[in-house]
Amino acid sequence: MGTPGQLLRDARVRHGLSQKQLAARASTTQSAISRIERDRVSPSVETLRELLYLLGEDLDLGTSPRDSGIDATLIDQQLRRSPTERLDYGVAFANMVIANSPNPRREPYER
Amino acid sequence: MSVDRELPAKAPEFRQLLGPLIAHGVDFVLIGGQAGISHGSTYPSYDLDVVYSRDRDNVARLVAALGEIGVRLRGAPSDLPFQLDARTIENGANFTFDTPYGDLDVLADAAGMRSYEDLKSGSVAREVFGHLVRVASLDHLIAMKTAAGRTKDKLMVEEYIVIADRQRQAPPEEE
Repeated sequence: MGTPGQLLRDARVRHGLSQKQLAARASTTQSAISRIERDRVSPSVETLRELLYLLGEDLDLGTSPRDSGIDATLIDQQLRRSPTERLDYGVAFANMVIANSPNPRREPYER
Repeated sequence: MSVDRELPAKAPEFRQLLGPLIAHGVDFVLIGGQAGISHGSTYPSYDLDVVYSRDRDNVARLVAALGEIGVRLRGAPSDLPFQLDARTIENGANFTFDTPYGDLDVLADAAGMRSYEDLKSGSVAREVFGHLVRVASLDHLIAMKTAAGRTKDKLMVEEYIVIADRQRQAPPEEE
């Protein structure tokens, strides 16, 4: 999905209106429309809905689950453990990373 | 990703770090990667982060606990004097320590948290290595990781959201 400005600009051009004409419909200034279309300002959802309405378009907002790429099977394994077991596992994992990392390692601090 | 990041000598030893904090009655909340792991995160974490109450009595208890653990400022020049007392803690806010038991970060303010009271009120009590510890909620961890904004924090935010969703589908854990 593009920016609100791109959305408005595309709809306006599709309907063959100039910024000045749309501004007239919306009782605002051409520069206000220009600022929105250039993403200099971010319009509220309501403002965008009204401007699109004046172009004969409806704004449809929707949501969909994001594929974040997180491996849920690993999380499910963790959730079957108790909090202490999770932290124990995390410590072992971190120590394994530390032991095998090519990165520099600080000297241990002994009192 | 930098290949030069310096790692600690070892991951934190919870019993040795949490024990004195609990024994001295320090009012604190576990945050950061370890808090995330206790919720089910799979990302490794190399330090222990806690946020503490700035209440004067609590600062005194914190100083006693830190003295028992044995801390020194992490990354500070060895000739930089550091006096561990209530005045030092009250004059500062966030401290990153080296300890014989791993890295310990002791924070009064963490980016993304509104107040200690808010953080604590949303936290959950968890038994961790035999100690009852207040752990920041996943929602507060998401806020703090979002505010931190590094690439690894953003990855953790994605994972925390998935964990929260999966936990909501499962029966609630102990509170």
